[in-house]
Amino acid sequence: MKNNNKNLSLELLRNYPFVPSLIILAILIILNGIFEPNSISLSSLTGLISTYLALMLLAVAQTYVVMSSDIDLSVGGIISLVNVSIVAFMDHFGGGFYIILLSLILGIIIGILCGLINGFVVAVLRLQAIVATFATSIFFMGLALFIMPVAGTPASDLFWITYFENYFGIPFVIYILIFILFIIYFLHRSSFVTRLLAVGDGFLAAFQGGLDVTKTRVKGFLLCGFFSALSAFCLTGETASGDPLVGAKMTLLSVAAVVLGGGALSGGSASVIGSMIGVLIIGLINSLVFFVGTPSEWQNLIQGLSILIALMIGIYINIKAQS
Amino acid sequence: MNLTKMKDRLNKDKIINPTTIALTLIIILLFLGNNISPGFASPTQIVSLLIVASLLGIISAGQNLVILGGREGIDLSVGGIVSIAAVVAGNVMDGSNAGIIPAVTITLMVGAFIGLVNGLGVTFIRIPPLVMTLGMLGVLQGLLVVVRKGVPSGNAAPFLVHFATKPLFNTLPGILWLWFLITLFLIFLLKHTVYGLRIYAIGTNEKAAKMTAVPVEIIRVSLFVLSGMFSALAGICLLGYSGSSFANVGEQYILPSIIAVVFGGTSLAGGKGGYFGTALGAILLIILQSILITIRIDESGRQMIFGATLLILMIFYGRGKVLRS
Amino acid sequence: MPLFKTMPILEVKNISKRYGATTALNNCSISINESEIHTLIGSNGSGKSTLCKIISGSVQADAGDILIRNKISIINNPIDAKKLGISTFYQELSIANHATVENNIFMTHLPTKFFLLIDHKKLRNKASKIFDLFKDVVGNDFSLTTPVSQLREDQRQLVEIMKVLALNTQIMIFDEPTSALDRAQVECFFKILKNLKNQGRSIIFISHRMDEIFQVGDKVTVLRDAEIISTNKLKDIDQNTIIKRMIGEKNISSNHKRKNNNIKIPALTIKNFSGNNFEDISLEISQGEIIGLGGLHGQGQSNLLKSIFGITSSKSGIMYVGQKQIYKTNPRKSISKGLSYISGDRKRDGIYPGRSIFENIFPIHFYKKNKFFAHRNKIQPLAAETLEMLKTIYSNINQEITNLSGGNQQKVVIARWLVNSPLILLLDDPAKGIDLSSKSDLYSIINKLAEKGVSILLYSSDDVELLTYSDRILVFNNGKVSRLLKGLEKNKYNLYEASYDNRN
Repeated sequence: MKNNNKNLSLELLRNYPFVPSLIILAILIILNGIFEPNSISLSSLTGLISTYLALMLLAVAQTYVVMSSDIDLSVGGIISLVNVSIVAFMDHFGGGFYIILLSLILGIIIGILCGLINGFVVAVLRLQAIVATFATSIFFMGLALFIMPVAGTPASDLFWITYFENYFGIPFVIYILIFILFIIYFLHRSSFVTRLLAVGDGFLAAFQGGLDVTKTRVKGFLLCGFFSALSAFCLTGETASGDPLVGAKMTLLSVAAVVLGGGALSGGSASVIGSMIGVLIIGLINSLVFFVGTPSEWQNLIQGLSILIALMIGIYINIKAQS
Repeated sequence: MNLTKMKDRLNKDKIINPTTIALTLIIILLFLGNNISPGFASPTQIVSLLIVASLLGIISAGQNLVILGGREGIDLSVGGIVSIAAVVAGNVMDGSNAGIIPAVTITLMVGAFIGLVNGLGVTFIRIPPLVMTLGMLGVLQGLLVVVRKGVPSGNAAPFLVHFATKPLFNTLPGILWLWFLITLFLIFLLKHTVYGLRIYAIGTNEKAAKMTAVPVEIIRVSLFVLSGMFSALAGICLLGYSGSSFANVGEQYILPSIIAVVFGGTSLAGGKGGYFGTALGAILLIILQSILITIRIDESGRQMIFGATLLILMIFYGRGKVLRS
Repeated sequence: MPLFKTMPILEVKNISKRYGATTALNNCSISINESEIHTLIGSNGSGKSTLCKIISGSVQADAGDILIRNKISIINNPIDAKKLGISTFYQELSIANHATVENNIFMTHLPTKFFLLIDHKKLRNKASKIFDLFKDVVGNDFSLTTPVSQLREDQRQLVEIMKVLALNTQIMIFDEPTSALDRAQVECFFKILKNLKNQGRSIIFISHRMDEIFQVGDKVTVLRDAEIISTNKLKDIDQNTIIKRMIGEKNISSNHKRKNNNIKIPALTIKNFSGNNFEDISLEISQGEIIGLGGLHGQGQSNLLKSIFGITSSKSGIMYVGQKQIYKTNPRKSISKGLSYISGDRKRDGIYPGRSIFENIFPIHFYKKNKFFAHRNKIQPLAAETLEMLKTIYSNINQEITNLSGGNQQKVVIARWLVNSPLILLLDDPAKGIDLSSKSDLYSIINKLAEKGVSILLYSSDDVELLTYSDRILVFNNGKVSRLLKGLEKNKYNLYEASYDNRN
């Protein structure tokens, strides 16, 4: 009987590896609600998603790279680059609807190109991902600085107004979220993601088994660049301006979010839903620390400690489940 | 057939010794620098560069040990430890020479303690080192905010300042002697002590190490403790170098410390490499950064060149294995 | 059916391969026809695996050509190989741990709809067809949706086999596909192979087991020291000739007699010992005795050894070393009590890859002597002596261990435990995958140690080894000792009978 229960929960965990993080999320929502009842209203939660949508997309980007056991420490740099690029573009050519559309296409192309550079450097040149993507991030940030040496150029009005608008009573960001979930679902059922995970389980085995390991890894980085660009769009909508330094802090948080969501940095096991939940966990921890009444200078420390503890709990649960 | 042989030669990292590459590049860069800006390679300048390199080098020593231990060992919290150490040391010594010994003792203990927490989390709770030390970095940065509000930035004792910047008994500055001693110590440790050989053991095959009575957990924890202590030491030296501590001074050293280790020929997978190469790697990085500052170009251009140069240099170091042998 | 079947499907001509200073293949040529099961046999390091990997594209030859249907073919990677009709079972397995069985089987050709989405229904269908070929022998907890990480070693091998079968290519290479399989699984697999052969396929099959070679092969090619010695039809050759060609001029000593002293001093005693995959084992081994653990693979023998040594914990039972009872043991305790554990899986459990022979030999010594400084010059002679005793081939003690051949690497691992006079040796298939002459060197040392009074618990996957060297054999079946064989009872028939007893 006990065995059956264990098997059932293992089966659940295997198909939905983000279940532990979902539980942590639920606990955090409840805790937040206890200390600040307003925070669990629909508008509050929508606000939470809106604030963290950019980081959620970045965590998704990071997830696809982590699946193949790589890592991309340049995602923050890609955000900066895409952000300043589209703002500069809109600023230069005026802020009309078609210009915005073109700028989005430009942003995606830049994101994918960055992903291509990362993929080339890590998968083709076989440089070690941690240091190589650090180097490319320096390069991307430098390029961003070149395009916009001083922060503050405003994004076109139409851009950020649309971003904050409600359509049919539902905030624009929710539409974005639904669209993203749709793409993710499609990708989840694709043969590409299955192969990405297989590559993450072991390059040599995958190679011997007949997979094109290099190409698969590069595609993972391309996907990462794509979602990083999307993340930059959200960030641009949020901040309504261009800032070459905007992406810096987000990189390491994207990695933390993937781990919080149950992803294994060693490859072969990660879920984008989990990573998105991981971001919400970070967001709820931050707000909980605030609602509990922590003095402002202590907030960073307590937030950091809580995230560290959450990471420990998450990993501990995962390890216990796998044994 | 000849082309294949050449490709084989380049692919095999054994033929090209990382230490040789580092030395060659250092010499080339010094020449280059001197041409661009005469006096770049003058003795005083070189000493100056070496002092900055020693700060990076000491941090890289701890990083090197953690990476050698395998299981994806890495320490991203070094930057935070350096910053905290500078503040703690500055406050304990508070500008007086008498405060140096207590300051060093307490600061090293603080560094060891932080390293201990890292080590325990990695070894017993099995958190991947990247995640654990990343989280720790966040905690330390938060702690810095608290500490800053509470205490002043502290002052370095005069002897410490002299130690970090001026020649000792008419030779090189004390800090360079310290780095030299650390280098000798680490080379000896890694080659001629059982502890050192055991580090390589757990870095290459942890399972076999366990079966041959190597105390894997204790060693791994100790590596993080040592990393914490080296970072703390660097923080103290940094305090001496700049006179007082300022916010988050250590963060800029984190990723360069990893790159120095890579340039020294140590594999990020663990089990291979030694400290001498890392020390050269640190020197190489500092010279590179320094040249870029000398060339009067924009920050943006500097960054792009630095990033691209790092990538090019990495091609000659630790590249991953070709899948097809 | 073609009129003239004389043109070979696959021809390997003058293939050579070197790894640094070691020659893996020297000017090898071989040809395979349609409707043929071509077996390769040779000791470890003779080049069989390398030859197969070159054909399958995962290793690049230094020289030579591969012709398929008389056309020179360039095979740069396994993808090229698949296009040319070659699929391979890898000894180390090429499956993805987290993925399910069905995903693994069809990983390189997942059925899709709308170009990218996996057609799960079609996948299930196709996978079931292949899975059903083995359904009687797969064992428990094995379905198409099980992640491969939860499978036993033999089940994982079956998945790798299914992977090859799914590709359905003309040429199929199997590199040691039966090493973990039990008899029923092997029979099932061989039936499938014979069917494929009758359909016209060309199959290359590597195995260390002579009986398998004779059971399923049409031709046999013997390799030795990176060269192809001969190719013959199996009906034209006998076992002894094959063995002679495998080992060349060297003679295997078959004198295994040991001086038996009748005084029995117990060295290790376990009573009602239970643990992971084994139950209620009791045995007493005296000084100078060799007790063999027999039975089919994976019946608890290896787990027992690991539990005695303390690598895994035991659930219940009592253990005595000499007269002292041992509680809750771990490797460090065991080593200090004089126990040694030697595993045949040297890559996983044994060597420190990339480190020198010196570093690989001395871990135990350092621990036992509580050393702090590693005085290389002082203790090197000790290593040289032990390595000499094992007839190890190496150039100098600071050489990287990975430069040695497999058999010599294993000798270094064994030397590690012998340097400090062990009392009790726990041998977990120590000669797995080693060439014959190294094997005989190894066992002669084991014999000598037993004569000196060392107690030895030996598990070997090779029945002949077990029967030859053990004083008594405990046959394991489903985690329990089903029979004890000693004296005249110790023969192949009894061993097999006891191994298969009660198996469902």
